[in-house]
Amino acid sequence: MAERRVCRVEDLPPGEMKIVPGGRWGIGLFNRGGSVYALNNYCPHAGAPVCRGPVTGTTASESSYDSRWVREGDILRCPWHGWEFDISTGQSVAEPVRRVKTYPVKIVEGWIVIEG
Amino acid sequence: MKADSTVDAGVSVVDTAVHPYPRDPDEIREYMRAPLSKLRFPGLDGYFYPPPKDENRADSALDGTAGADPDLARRQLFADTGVDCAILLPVTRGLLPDVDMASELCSATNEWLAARWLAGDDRFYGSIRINPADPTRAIAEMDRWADHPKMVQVAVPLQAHHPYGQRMYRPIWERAAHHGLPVAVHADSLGGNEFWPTSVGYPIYYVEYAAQYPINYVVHLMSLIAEGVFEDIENLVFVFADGGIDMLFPLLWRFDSDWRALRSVTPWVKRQPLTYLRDHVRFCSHRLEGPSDANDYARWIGEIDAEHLLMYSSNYPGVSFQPADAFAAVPPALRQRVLATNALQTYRRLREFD
Amino acid sequence: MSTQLPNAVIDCDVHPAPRTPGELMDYLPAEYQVERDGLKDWFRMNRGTGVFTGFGALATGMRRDAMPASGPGGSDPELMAEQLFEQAGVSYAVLIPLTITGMANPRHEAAMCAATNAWMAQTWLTDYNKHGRYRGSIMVCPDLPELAVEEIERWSDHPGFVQVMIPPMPRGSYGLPQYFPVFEAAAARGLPVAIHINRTPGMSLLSPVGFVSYYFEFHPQYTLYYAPHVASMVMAGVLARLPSLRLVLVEGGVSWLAPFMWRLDHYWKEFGSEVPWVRRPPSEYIREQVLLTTQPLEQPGQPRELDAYLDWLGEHMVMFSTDYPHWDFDDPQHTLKRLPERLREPIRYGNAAQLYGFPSAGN
Repeated sequence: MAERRVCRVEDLPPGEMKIVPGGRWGIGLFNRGGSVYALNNYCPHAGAPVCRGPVTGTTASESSYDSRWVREGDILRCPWHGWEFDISTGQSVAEPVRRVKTYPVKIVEGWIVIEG
Repeated sequence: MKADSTVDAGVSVVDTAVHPYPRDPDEIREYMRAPLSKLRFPGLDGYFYPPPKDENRADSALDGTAGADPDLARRQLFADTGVDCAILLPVTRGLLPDVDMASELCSATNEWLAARWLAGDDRFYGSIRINPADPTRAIAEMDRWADHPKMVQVAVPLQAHHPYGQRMYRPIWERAAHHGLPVAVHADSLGGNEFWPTSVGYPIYYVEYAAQYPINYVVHLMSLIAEGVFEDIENLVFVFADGGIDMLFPLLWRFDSDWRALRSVTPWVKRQPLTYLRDHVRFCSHRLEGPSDANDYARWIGEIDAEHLLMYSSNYPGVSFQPADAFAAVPPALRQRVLATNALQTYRRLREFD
Repeated sequence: MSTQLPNAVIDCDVHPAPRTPGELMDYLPAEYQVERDGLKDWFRMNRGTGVFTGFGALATGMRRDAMPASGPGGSDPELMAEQLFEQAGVSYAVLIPLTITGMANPRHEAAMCAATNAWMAQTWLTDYNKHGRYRGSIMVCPDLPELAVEEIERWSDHPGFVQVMIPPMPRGSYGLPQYFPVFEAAAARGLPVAIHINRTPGMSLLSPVGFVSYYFEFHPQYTLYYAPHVASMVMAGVLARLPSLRLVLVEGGVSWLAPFMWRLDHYWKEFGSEVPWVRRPPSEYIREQVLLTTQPLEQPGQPRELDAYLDWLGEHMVMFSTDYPHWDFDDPQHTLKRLPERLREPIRYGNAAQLYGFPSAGN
C-alpha cells in the first residue's frame, strides 16, 4: 500500500478536521486529543461527504425512555442522513457491520502519513 | 419467542380468526352486573359506514344474526371448510365514552363466549377481550381468564386513542406476556369514540373505509417498536387479526432506514426495527389483500415473509370469508406453515390440541 | 467538483426557499392586502411549527452541508445550482416551495399561495433560471376552490409552471365534491396536480389511533396521508370524470401503491355497488393517472427486495426525486444504482419528461 504525506502535524490541531485529496470527496483527518484518524470522506450509506458532519457524542440506553449522553467527541454524524460513526474505527453506531473506510495513520518527522 | 420445529401431525388447519356474534345485545347483558346491566349500550349492528351489502355471509345466519349459532358455525367451519380448530375473537363496540361500560362489556363477552361457545366444543378456542383504556381492570380481567384452557390470547380493538406502544399501556402487555398470551388487535364496530378513520379525515364511502381501516395497525406496530415495548418484553407477541401483511414491508422499510438515521433520539430501540418482526408480530390472512393474478400471487407470497409471519384465518362469518384451500397453489412447506404451524408455534395452548 | 452523469436526470422534488419571509410579502397581490398585516403577525409569531424533536441539523430537516452562509436551506440559487446540477448531476429540477403550512385562516393560506407563485415566477423561474433548468408548481389552497381556480388560471400559461400543488391536509379527502373544481381546472389546462406533505401541527398530526411520539414514526407514515386521497379520488369518480388528470404523490414512498391497488380492487369488487360510477377496477384508473416520486427510496435489507414492488407498478408510474436540500436527500448516483436496470431510464428521465413536457432525451 502506498504511503503518502498528507499534512503537517501542526496544521491539524486537536479537535480539528481537515480534508486532504483522495477518492470522490477526499479523505478526512481528525485529531482526537493527539491521536490522528483518517476516514474516507464517503458515507457507506449513500455516498455523502461524511467527514463534513459534526463531531459529537451519542446516546445510550439501559431501558425504555432511559437515554444518556455518552462518547462526546468520539462520534461523527453524517451531514446528510445523520448516520453516526465511531471516528476511531469508522463503524456505524446503529449497524456496526457498516463502516466508513479508514486508513492507517503514522506520524513521521512531523508529517501525518496515511497508507492507501 | 422460541421456534418449535415440530409440526403436530393431527392438526393441519388452524383458523386464527373467527368472529362469533350474540343473537342480540341481551345475550351479553345476561352476563353483566348491575347497575351497568340496566343501562342502555350500543349493540353491534349500528354502522357509521353502512355496508352496501351484508358484511356477513347470509348462510351463516340461523335466526337472523350471522355468526350467532355455534352449531351452524361448527358445521360450516369444521365440516364444510375443513378447519381443524378455530380461535374465536368476538367483537364488541370498541371505544365507548364510559370506560367502565366498555370494560363490563368485555367481561360479559368473555363469560358469554366461554359459556356459549367454548364449553360445547373442543375445537373452539377463545380470546380474552380486555379494555386497554382501563389498564387496571384489563389486567384483572386477563388474570381471571389466564388459566382457562381454551383461552389462547387477549384481544384489544384496533381503535385506540393512543398508539399501543405508548407508556400507559405497557403494564397490560407485560401482563399478557407474563401469562404467555399473545395480544390480538382487531377492528371493532366503528361508531363510538374513534378518531378519523384515515389521517386526512373521513372517507366518503364504505369501500374506502373498509379497504383502509385495517392498515392502521401499522401505527400501533411502529409505536410498539419505537417505545421499546418489544425490546423490553421478550416473549410478547402481537397478532394483527384484520390482515395487513400486504402493507407491512412497504411501510416498515422506511421506518427501518429512518431508525438508522435517527437512532439517537430513541436509543432504547437497540435493534433494527425489521428484526423484531419474527419474534413479536403475526398477521392473520385476509382474502381481500394481495394480488388476484396467479403469477403475481406466487411471487408475492414469497416476498412477505409468510413463512414466519402469516397465519390462516377464514374471517368467518364475513362475506370476505377465505377458505383454507385459498392456499392450494402455495408450495406445500409454506402452505403448512401458514395453515397450521405458525399458529401452533404462536399459541402455546393449541399445542395441547389433538 | 463536477459530476457529469452519463445520462440525464429530472429531479421531481426540490425545495427552494425565500431568503426571508419578508421577501415573499413583497409579492403579495393587491387583492390580499387585507391579509397582509395578519400574515406579518403570523410570520413574526409562528417560528418553527415543527413539533418533533431531534438532534442537530436533523431537527431542522436540512442536509447540514446545504445551508447557505445566510438564509435558510434552499434559498441560495448558486449553492443549489452547484450542489444539484454540478455535484449531483441533475439536469432539470421541478421546484416545490414549502412556504405554505396549514393555517387556521384559509384566506391566509390562499394569500401565501399567491405570494409564493408570484415570487417563484419572478425569481426561480426567471431571474435564477438563465440556464432554463428549473420548473415550478402553482401553489393553491383547495379549501377556497374559487381562489384556487383563479390562481391556476393566472399562471397556467406561464411556461415555467408545470404542475399545480395542493396540501395533504385539506378539510377532508380529495374526492369531496367541493374540491372538484380545482382538479377540473388543472386537468383542463393540462397540468398535473402534486401533493406534498407539509408539517402543520395539531390535528393533521393525528393518526387514526392517536398522536405518535417520535419523528421516526411519523415520517414513514406520510404514505397514510396519500393513500386515502387516492382511494377517495377513485371512489368519488374524480379520476373517472377527468381522464386527463394526473396526480403526483411526492415523497410518500413507491412500494405501497401496488399492494394498495390490489386492496382497492378487492374491496371494489366486493362492495363497489355503492360507487357504480367507478366502472373499472380502481387499479386501472390509478395506473393511468397516478405517479409517485422516488425519494426517499426504500432501502430493504437486500436491494433486490424492492424489485417486485416496482415490477408490479410497471414502467410508467415512478419518477426520480432528491428532495434537495432536506436531510434524507437521495443522491442520483447512489439511488439509481439500486433500481433494476430496465427501469432506470423511465424513472430518471422518461416518465417525468413525458408528464411535464421536458425535451425528450437523446440518450
